[in-house]
Amino acid sequence: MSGIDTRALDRELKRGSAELLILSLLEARPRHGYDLSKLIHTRSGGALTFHIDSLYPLLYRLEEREWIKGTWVEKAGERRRRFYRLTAEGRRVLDQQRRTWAAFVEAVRRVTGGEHA
Amino acid sequence: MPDFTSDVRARLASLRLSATREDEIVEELAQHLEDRCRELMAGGASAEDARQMALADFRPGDLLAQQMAALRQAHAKQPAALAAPTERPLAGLWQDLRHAARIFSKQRAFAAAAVLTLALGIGTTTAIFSVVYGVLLKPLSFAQPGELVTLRHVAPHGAGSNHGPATFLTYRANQRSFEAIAAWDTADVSITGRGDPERVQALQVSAAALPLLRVRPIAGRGFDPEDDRFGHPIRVILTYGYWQRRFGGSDAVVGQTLVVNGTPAEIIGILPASFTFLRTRPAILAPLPLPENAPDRMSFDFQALARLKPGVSLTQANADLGRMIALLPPAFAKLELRPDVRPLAADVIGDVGEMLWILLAAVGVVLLIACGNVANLFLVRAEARHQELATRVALGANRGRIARTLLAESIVLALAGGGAGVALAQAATMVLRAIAPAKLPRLDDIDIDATVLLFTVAVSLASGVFFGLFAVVRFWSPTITTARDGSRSGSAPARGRTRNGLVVGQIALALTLLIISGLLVRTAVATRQVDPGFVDPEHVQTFVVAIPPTFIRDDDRAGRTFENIAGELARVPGVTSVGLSSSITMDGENNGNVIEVEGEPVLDPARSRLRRFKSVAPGYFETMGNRIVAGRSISWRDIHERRPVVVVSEALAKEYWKDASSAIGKRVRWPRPGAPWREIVAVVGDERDDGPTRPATAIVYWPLLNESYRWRIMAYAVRSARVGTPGFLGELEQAVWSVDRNLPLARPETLDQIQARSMAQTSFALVMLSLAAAVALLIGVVGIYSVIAYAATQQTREIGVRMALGAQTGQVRQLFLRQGLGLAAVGIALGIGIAVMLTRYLSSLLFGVGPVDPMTYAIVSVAMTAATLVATDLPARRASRIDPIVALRADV
Repeated sequence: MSGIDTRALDRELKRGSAELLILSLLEARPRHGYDLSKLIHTRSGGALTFHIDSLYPLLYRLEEREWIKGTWVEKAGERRRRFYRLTAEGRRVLDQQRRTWAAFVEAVRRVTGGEHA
Repeated sequence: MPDFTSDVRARLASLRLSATREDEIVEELAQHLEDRCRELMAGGASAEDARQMALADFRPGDLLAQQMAALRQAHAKQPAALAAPTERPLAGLWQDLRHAARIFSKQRAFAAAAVLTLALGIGTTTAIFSVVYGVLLKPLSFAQPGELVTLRHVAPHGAGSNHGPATFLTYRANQRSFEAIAAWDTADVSITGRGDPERVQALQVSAAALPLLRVRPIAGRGFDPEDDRFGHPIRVILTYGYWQRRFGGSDAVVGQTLVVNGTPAEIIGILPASFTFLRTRPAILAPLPLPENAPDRMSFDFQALARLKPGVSLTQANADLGRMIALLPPAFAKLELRPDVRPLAADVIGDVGEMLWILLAAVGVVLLIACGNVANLFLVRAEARHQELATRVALGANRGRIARTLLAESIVLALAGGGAGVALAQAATMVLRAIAPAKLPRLDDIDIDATVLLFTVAVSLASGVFFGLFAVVRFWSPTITTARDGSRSGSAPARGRTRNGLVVGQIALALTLLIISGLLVRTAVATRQVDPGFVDPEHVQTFVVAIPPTFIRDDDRAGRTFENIAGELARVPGVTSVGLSSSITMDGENNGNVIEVEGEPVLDPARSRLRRFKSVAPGYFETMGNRIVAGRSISWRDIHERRPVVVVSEALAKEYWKDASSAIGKRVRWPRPGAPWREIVAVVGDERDDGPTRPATAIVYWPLLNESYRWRIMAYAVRSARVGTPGFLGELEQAVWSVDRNLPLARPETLDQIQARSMAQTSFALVMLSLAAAVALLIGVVGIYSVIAYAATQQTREIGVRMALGAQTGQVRQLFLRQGLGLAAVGIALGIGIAVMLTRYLSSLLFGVGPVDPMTYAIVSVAMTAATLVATDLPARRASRIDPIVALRADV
């Protein structure tokens, strides 16, 4: 189903863009893991897929870095779910990563689209 | 809804999560899978299809655990047992050891290769150590063996290292350092009157000997002081073995009579089975009577042992002996004797000590090579786990903890190797005892006992730590970058250097052992080329016949009897020649004395050189195949008419008269008042009487019945093509007994066996060192093979690129051959250097070849290069057959 080579994506996960995706999605409100995987899949138009064996290790890593915080939330009539929310440190990292990413995209745009400017 | 908890839990099993954390993750991921499953079913999938599709999100290769392994939570401390306040390092080590054992039960091929290699190394080391311990280090089987000493003299002029009545009686009367002093000697005696006559070894001891050794007879009693006096009726004590063999272990034997050398002797006691004395193998113990007063006579024909008084040191004992040397009769002063009190144990060992230590060093080298090999296997294996180890360090895992994990794994392997090695060593010592190399004393003391096992455990642990440390040091500080970018090849060149270094070391050590065994092979060849003074030794049967004066008092009659026996032996079918001599070449008899040569200044007997004396009868030189260089052979008429003639060896003739023919007609004599001058009638070819690797002995051959030899113990040499065939020896015995039914035959041996015995020590060293070298070569070659094979798999992609770019298979092969030969060249150069340094210490074992023999070095180096080529070519060929497409696809 994925439009991008999953091995390549794995490598990206290890780098930073996957972290950026997760942090961005948690900026607005806390979400649980399944929610995150569906959002990435649908919002990317099916181009990006997080497998279960990449997604959760990534969440746990971000949690160990204290960029996000997971808590069990119980709702009446449902099983408890683990929701992740951004910490203050996570918010700071997100801002920084966004700026880096924007600068990177701009740099790429200048190179690849320079002649039309 | 399917339950996914067990699917998730199985995928986390390899991690060390805390129990609560694991439960949380299982719950979270199972929920994820259920959500997915529900969604798929809502889309129309069957429950089972939905379940399978949801689980397909887990990709092959256990990615979950791999990704999780980098997390701190995956390395939770195990709950401490029984709420111990802090982690106990030893408990942790035990846990690591069990963990390692579990890991190896799954990696059987790796474990088997490592354990087998270590078993070879540790097994051979244990086997040789058991010999070294049994022969050299184990205390003698007497009470307080450390107090037992042997009394000797340093005799600068050759005479007087042992004892005679003068020294012994002086010391016994005047000593202050010893609880007691006892004299001892061995003699072959004839036992008659009970079935076939028999010639056995008697251990003659003074009465003090057994109490001093703390040995009590199991029946009867020991000797009394009156047994030490001349003229007292002879009494004997039986050893346990002889009592069982000859008397069936009957208690009634005490008090019975045994005819020893024709004289009846009362049996007064039986020794315990545990009794052994130095290198003797006696059947009976007999008294060693001594004159009452110390005479001036300078005879030195027995030994003395003593027990130190408690608290007396060897130095004090030597000082005491030095004081007493001054009390000897004045004539002894010119011998310039000095005291030499040494531990009795040193006497047992003799001259094999040096050889055994060399052997132990050699197998130690084999063990070192084996460790190098396993270290290499270990490095390769640890490399595959580099990512895991590096990540653990990056995340702050305790480095000591990682070192302990690695060491636990190496120690588990080493202990398993040690266990297998003990089995190997047990088999080896059984073989060793079965083949019983001559000259190896205390063979019965060689065993895999508690001390040897302790040694094995220590060696195994040391080996495990040694080869484990290579991996620990290499992975002690994996760089953080290595962990972050996920590459496994961060410090590959460095690790390659370690592996190459290990292989070079193995080749160098294996080459050293090969050179040493090569030198011993050349020694053996050179030894074979020496003219020993006889030919075709396998066709000469020898045995000893003694005619004590108690059997035949008259010398002439004894002479006639010897002649008659020779005549009867010559009539046995197939016998071509018969001769007799008081000593056969290389049989270990070294009866010697000085001679006086007419016209030469009379030298002080104590200062002139000892010549070997042999008494011979006609046929001896002819039967042995020795040449008569000049003159004529002696005849029975010479003997019976007591003609004053003598024969000398070529070495002696050349010493005095430059060449053999000039010696004929010259006269020599035994330097005693009244001894007649004897004319040299023949010069015979040299005998290598002290062994083929020693210079030819200067020998004087007296005709049988002469003034210097009264013992009448003669060895017959019988040449026949029938030697060694069944029944031949029996026919010879019958021929002897047809002359006199009471004469026993002793020590039947072929000349071939006597020769082999004289070379036993060199042969033993040769066989053992060759075995060690062969094992070293095998392990070393396997080492090269595995390094090249590993390099080939690591460079699959590079090979693919080269071949895609047009490289020929031959070029690829050359690439690896160059690598292998490069390692071999460095190893060989290093090995030659080590050999040049070490082989000087072997010169006592070498003969006819220098320690730095260019030929041996060259042949061994070429052989080593060839072995390297084969070991390299196998993986090189495989690498050159790689399909470039497959190679490029390989994700390295």
